[in-house]
Amino acid sequence: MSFSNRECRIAIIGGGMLGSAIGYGLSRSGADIIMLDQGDTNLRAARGNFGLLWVQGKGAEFPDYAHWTLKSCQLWPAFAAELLSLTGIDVQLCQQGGIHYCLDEGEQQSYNLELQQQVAISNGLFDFQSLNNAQLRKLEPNIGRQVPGGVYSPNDGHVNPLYLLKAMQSAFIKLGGNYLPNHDVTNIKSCLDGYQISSSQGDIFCEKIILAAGLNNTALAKMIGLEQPLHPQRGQLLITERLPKLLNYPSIYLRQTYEGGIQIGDSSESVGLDDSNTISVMAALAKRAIKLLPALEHRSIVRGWGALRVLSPDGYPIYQHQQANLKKSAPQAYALSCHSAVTLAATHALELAPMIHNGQFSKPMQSFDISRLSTHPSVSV
Amino acid sequence: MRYDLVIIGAGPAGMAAAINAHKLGLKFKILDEQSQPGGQIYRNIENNINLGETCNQLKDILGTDYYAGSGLYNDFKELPDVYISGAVVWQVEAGRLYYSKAGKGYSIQAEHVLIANGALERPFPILGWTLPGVMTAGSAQILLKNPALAVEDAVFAGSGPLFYLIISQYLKAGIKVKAILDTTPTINYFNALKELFSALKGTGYLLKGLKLIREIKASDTLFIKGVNMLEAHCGTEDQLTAVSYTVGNKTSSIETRQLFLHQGIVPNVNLAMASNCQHFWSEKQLCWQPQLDKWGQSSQQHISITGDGSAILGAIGSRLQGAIAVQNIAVVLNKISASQRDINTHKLFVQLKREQDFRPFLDTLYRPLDSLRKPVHKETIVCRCEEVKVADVEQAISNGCMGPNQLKSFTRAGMGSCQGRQCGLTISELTASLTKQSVADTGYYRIRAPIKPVTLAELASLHQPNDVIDSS
Amino acid sequence: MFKAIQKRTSHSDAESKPKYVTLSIDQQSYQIPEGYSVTAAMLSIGHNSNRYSPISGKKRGPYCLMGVCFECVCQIDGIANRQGCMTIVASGMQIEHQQGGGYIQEATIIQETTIDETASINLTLEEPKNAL
Repeated sequence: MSFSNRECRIAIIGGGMLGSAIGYGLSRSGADIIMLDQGDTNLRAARGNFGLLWVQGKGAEFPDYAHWTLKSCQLWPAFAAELLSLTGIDVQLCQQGGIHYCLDEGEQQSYNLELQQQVAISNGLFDFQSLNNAQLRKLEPNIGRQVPGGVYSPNDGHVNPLYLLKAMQSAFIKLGGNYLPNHDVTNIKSCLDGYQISSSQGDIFCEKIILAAGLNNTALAKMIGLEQPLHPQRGQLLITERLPKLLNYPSIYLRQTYEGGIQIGDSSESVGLDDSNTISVMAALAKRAIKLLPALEHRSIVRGWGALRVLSPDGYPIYQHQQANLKKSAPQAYALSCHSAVTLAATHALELAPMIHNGQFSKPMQSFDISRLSTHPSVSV
Repeated sequence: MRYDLVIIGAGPAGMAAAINAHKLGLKFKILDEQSQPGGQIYRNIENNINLGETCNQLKDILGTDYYAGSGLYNDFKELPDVYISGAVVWQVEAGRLYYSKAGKGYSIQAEHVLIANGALERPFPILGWTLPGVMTAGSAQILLKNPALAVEDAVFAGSGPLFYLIISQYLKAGIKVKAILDTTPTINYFNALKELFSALKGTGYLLKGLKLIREIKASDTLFIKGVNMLEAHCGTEDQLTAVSYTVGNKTSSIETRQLFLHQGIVPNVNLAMASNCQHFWSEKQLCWQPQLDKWGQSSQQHISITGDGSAILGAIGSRLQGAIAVQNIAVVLNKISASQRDINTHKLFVQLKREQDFRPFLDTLYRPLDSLRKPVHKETIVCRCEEVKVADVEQAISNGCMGPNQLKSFTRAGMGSCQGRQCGLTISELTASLTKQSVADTGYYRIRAPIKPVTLAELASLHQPNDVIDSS
Repeated sequence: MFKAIQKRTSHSDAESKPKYVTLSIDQQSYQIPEGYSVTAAMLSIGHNSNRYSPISGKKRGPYCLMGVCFECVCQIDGIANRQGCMTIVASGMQIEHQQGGGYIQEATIIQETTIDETASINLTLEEPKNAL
């Protein structure tokens, strides 16, 4: 066997939101790491994020996920400060809370029940307040009078997702990580003491491999005997021109960015690997946005886009760890995927990466293993 | 109502296409974002023809090439009920396109779409180019045509056929021009000699051009050749006060409050790109062009592209291409046979070849300087809308950015209202240089609909009752 | 300053003398010939700027005059980000330099003060008098 080109201790496949967080986290401990990324025009969930740090509505049925999400939000201020001091990049973190708008009475009732359950499993760390229209408009004076109500949670927040990616990649490089764009991985071969990666720009050998390639993880995982049953779900977004400040809090439907444009979402479609944006969804998004925020009516959309969420069968993260044998120095492989890598960026960098560095997942992390899906209807693990 | 064809743009290519579409009995509409037909070159031709006595004086100023459009315009005017003015098209899907007019959103069904949206000026990024008082030479010409406004003591800087044309129009109108700073690289004159064969194919144009330049030189206006660097200055004011320029190693300065810049025109690709038409990088014309067959059929079955929106060819070439494109669309729509189309277009192709044969000479002679396409000074703004500088681009690339889309994500370049029209070419070329890739491999911004801003009300008005946001 | 070319406007025929509209630019009244674009109107009275950049606060003026640069945007009849070069003047039109993203008359513009966190969670609110 010949190992041409490069060798390293750790290789991360995927330079998106998850891969970059892990990469940054690992580089903090001075590891010898290569991060492989595709080219400029490949499908990337990490350029289509909404930017929410969202806690409400998460994990009522999956306590470890609720805790994991809460933990991340707690770690976010320190994480953002770290990135700022390392790179000078301000990711525009704002954690003043967030609002979910309920578009009908039925939704408000069922959502309230769900959140009560979330409170029950969160050991007092999660809180929310149910609001009628008048109360909503106390928090958000520009919300339309036709909006039945909503929920405010102090745990939520938002961040600039593009600057987050930029900061994590920057920090990774600054701490000695090797970022290799335009490297399409075509094959991975398990060897006695590591993995040989074939890419469009040559071969790389590594002792430890981390698959964080979003939807590409499904194919890559199979190459080394791991399972990542993932499917794409398209979300379309709109962004307005710069506007004066109209919103205090983010929501999943509307988020005013630091620069002033208002991002409008949220949609979900199953269309395979198609990230185009369509009039029918854009028109529906616009209609809903006007109902929520009437002041938007005569303001302009400057661009629309679509992105593909990386979804597991039950919608929760899959963190899979495989060790070739019981020897401490055995080659280790990880396959990681989730759809909320912005919210989880802090905990990915500051908790999951150290676990990977030490070669051991904590007990709560084990509940994210693929084996939980063995009873899931759509998975044949 | 489903039309056979919708034509987008009413310049020479669009008008010629419409006239042909009518002759062929196609059911069609022509959408124009301007309030009157003519595109850029024949702007306001309707009013300028009707100006009565002053017409001759205006005719002298604007020139015979401008008024040559009046025949085309008059034929176009006769077409019954096809022209929709003030219509801003912002998305084209297969079988349907969407536009706004007077604050309302509309959709229109069409088998085929012919994009004839013309060209725009190549970016001219120099230090200070965002100061009030700095505008394109094309804008000077637009204001001259409508509503006949001009400014004294302006400095014109740049190169190219349109550059000399607008200067000569200003001089003919008796407007004083402070200085002409010609940035045509000296080496281009030598290189252009190699294209002598091409030059001779367009002897008429050549003589016209030489005459223009001779008249300009004879006018006693300060004419500086071989300019290789430009800067716009504002002193302590918030607008342009002076322009400095370098010839060889010597830098000089001219006081002025108006600067017109021009270094050629390039296809306006946003709509074609957002509609997923394949494009390629033309090293000859230093711009992105759609992949087309000789008829103008793009890589998208339902879209043809014609005129300066496909490759820069000028008014006469655009008219011919518009006519040719529609003849082929008629075949695609089974209205005429391929052999009938070939008969109809035979002469047009002969004339078109003459126009195309002259291009290599022009492209070589007026190939803009590298340093004026890829600015060297780090403080030069590259993206005007978001004020992203060369220094910002360099920093992003040194942090691993490998292409325009990642660059856009990390610097905001290309995120403004103009959606890359003023910065895209600069970014592609600069990124290519800095990452040591070819421009073709570097690529361009991913352009998406809406290609022009559309209000939420206009968008929402297109909502159908059975449109769903969540269908997964 | 952009001025009308002498030859065009010195026509003696009364019928083709230009008609004027009265409009305001930054709260000052002007007579502008019909058919002018808003940008042409501003240039003709000596304004070579129409907005203040939302990024640097610097004055910006029109650049391309053909609708592709979006530099000429200003506040027209209360609506921001309208391209002056693509808008024809009309009687009674109100044109203003635009500050950054402009203003929205019908909205409450939120000032950049810190949000009082206790007020937002402790929501024992009274209904406003004119609630639905």
